[in-house]
Amino acid sequence: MGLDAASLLQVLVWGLVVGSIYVLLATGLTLIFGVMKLVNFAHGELMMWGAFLTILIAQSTGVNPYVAMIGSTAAVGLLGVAIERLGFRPLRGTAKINEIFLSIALILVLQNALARFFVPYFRENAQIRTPYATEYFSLGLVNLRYDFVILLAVAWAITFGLWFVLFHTAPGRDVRATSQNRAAALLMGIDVRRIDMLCFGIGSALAALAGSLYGVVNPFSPYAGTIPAIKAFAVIILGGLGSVPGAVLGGLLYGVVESFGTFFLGGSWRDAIAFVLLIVVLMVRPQGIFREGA
Amino acid sequence: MSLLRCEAVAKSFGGLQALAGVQFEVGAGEIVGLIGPNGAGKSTLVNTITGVHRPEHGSITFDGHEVTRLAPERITRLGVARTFQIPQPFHTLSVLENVMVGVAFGARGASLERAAREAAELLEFVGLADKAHHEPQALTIIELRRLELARALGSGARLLLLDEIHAGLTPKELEEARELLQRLRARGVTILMVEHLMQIIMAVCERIVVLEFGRKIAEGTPAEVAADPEVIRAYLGTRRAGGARAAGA
Amino acid sequence: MSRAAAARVRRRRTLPVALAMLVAGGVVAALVREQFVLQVLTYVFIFAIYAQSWNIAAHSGQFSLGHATFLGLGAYASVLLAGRLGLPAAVAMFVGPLLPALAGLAIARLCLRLREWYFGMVTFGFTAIVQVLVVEPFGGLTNRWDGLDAAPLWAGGRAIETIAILNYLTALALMVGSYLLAARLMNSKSGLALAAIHDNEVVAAVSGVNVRTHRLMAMTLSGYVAGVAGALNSHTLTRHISPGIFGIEDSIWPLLYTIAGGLRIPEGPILGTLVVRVFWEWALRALGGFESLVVIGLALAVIVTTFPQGLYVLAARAAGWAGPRLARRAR
Ligand SMILES: Nc1ncnc2c1ncn2[C@@H]1O[C@H](COP(=O)(O)OP(=O)(O)OP(=O)(O)O)[C@@H](O)[C@H]1O
Ligand SMILES: [Mg+2]
Repeated sequence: MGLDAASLLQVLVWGLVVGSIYVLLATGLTLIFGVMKLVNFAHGELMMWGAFLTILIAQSTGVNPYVAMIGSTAAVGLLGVAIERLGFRPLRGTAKINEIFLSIALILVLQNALARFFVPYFRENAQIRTPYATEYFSLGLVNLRYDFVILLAVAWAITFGLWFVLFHTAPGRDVRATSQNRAAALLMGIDVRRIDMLCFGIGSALAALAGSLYGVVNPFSPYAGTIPAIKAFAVIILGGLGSVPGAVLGGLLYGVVESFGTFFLGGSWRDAIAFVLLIVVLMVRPQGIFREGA
Repeated sequence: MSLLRCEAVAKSFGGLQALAGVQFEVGAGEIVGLIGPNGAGKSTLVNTITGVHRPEHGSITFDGHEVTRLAPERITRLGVARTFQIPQPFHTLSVLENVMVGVAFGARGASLERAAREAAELLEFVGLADKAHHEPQALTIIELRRLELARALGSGARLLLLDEIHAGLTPKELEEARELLQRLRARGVTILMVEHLMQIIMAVCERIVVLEFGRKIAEGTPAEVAADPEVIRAYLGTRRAGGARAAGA
Repeated sequence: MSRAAAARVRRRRTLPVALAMLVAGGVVAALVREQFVLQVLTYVFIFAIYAQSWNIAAHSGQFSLGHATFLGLGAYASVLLAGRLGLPAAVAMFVGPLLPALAGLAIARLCLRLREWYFGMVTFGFTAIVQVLVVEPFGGLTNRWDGLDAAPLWAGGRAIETIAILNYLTALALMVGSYLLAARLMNSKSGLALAAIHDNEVVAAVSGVNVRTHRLMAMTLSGYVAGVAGALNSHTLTRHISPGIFGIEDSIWPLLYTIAGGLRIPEGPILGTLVVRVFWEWALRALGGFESLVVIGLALAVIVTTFPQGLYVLAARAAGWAGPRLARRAR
């Protein structure tokens, strides 16, 4: 690997692609954290369910995988709603550690339920095959995969769409109000439980979409989601728990840093980079870069 | 001789100057009132004296020791104790154990067995003996304030900082509280009490310090303070004006 | 019996409980001849030690999501001491864990100002970092991803059955020891300080508790005990270690076992590990690998949503001797 401009640019593009996936994961997590003040550690398992369902739908119906993603995203969104209703809602008001416990129990359930169907079908790894898998744009120095372009377009269209809903519509305002002050939102007549359900559903759907896009550019197994989701959680701590702008900026930045870090330090370091960053930042600012709930 | 001395104490939160050079003394054995409108900086002052916040400027001495930059537990062990405006019990400990924490780790550093005995006595003293083995969740807000008081007393305080422990009491409860304060004084405890209720301040304090926007605007006997034009002005535009006037009349 | 008396009884009961566990464990060893059962129980004892170490840290409000750091470092240090320096495994097992104790101290020091999610994520992060350190800079020593074989704790021409029994008894004794350690700690003056810190650090500090030293002490001790569990595991059951030990799985088990059994109760981790693991072994046979884990996950989810105080308090309630202190702790 030379240090020429072309390979650096290649690393940057990969960073943006990975970063966009982190943005989707982190935005979902931060949306849920904002209103419910909880973290679903099984976010990464929802992510892999999304990827798996996309393959399943695409193969069984023959539609383009990018179209199949609509179905898988919706299905996982509904699964999220069920998890919130049956699992996290009864725990509201008990110790934080109980929520952590439940989300870890959910890792066991979701991961192994997925493996149960996945392993006989794919053995170790699967990848989402799109019709454009071998097509490239030439951009002078780098060749850009079609799939990268589509991935970036989808991720950012969804991110900006969500942004618009959050900051320019009535339901979005209710979500932000609940996130800022739950008690006050309740007094204002906002049905905060419905907001919980909504946000958990949307957050889970975003995880599924992130997983599907991940599956287009990476081979994946039922166990592949845990680490990216936990890194996305590190990202939202850095960006400020509950802050959507923090998650978007943080996710993108982190993707680029990880890509360059892995390039220069070697693959073993990939997972550690996020945490070195997290630890350094928390030493200086124990509450994250932006304040909680910003 | 002064037990507590604050000199030019300043503390800010971001752009907000919560304390802007506060200066006053509390003599041994005194009961001093600390009053002021909402947001005047009274709780911040208590937090600063007890080491919960670090002041940017100024110095605080207690009994001849410089305590300005000491850790909270060091200050407590020197003999300063406090209650919190919003009671914050240890929620997984029993009422008795809450008080035991103060006795075991405060100025006297008792063994667990002695801590249990003394904590039981303190609960008796504040009238919570029958709740010793309840959980704090089962207490009323008024009982929780008494629990705060017992925990603070347990740490062997020579100086007690009380942050609004009398808000919301009925006249009968106020009378009991006043008696309790007199008994405390009889034990030789010096008290600095933050209070909005002029009635009790007027009744028990020898001296009153008035804060507004982080500055001391008046100091003196209850009668002097009630007649002070600055104090009347400070209290007029606020909700508490009625209380201040009524007490001053 | 009044509530107060119940609380006092709970305080004194640790030694009889310890003896009862030893006797029950001994009886099982005398009666059961099936290798497989002994092996499962040995696992239960070792992981109960590990879960107890997590419980000790949790008692001070330090909810670690990366305890595998200590489990793994203890295992590596002990295996290396035995393998490279030729120390007997029985000695290395107690010397090696000084390394995770030191790591616990260092991590607690770095995380002093952090709590809740922040603390959890940083402790998790250290596991990922330590894994890279073990593989990369220390790869020469640790044989990278391939790992190392561990010297056996009991060897020297004994029959396999004898070794299994000896492993079992060692693990049982150490588990009872870790139980006594945790119980004594929680009932001591320091235990009161740790509980106060768990509830509210600011109020603990103004009550005279030195929050800093107590937090450091709890994590150092926790690191040591976790390290002993890791060392014991590699010298008896796995006989091999690899960087895989610094994975997510090994960090979440102590948390699941402890909370299922009863958080911040010394008996909790033991009961939790026993019940969950035995149930799992049964499910594995009855249902198959993936299905059994799904069922375990669901069972744990049901426990926490219907009875967040855990199985020990549930059992104690059923038996009618749950003191109020017990119920409070486990909240
Ligand atoms: N931890 C903090 N962070 C930021 N601002 C704070 C903090 N604590 C206090 N303040 C601000 O400092 C000012 C003084 O607050 P303080 O609580 O000391 O007032 P007070 O005199 O006790 O009022 P009250 O009578 O309502 O209790 C207020 O404007 C308050 O909002
Ligand atoms: Mg106040």
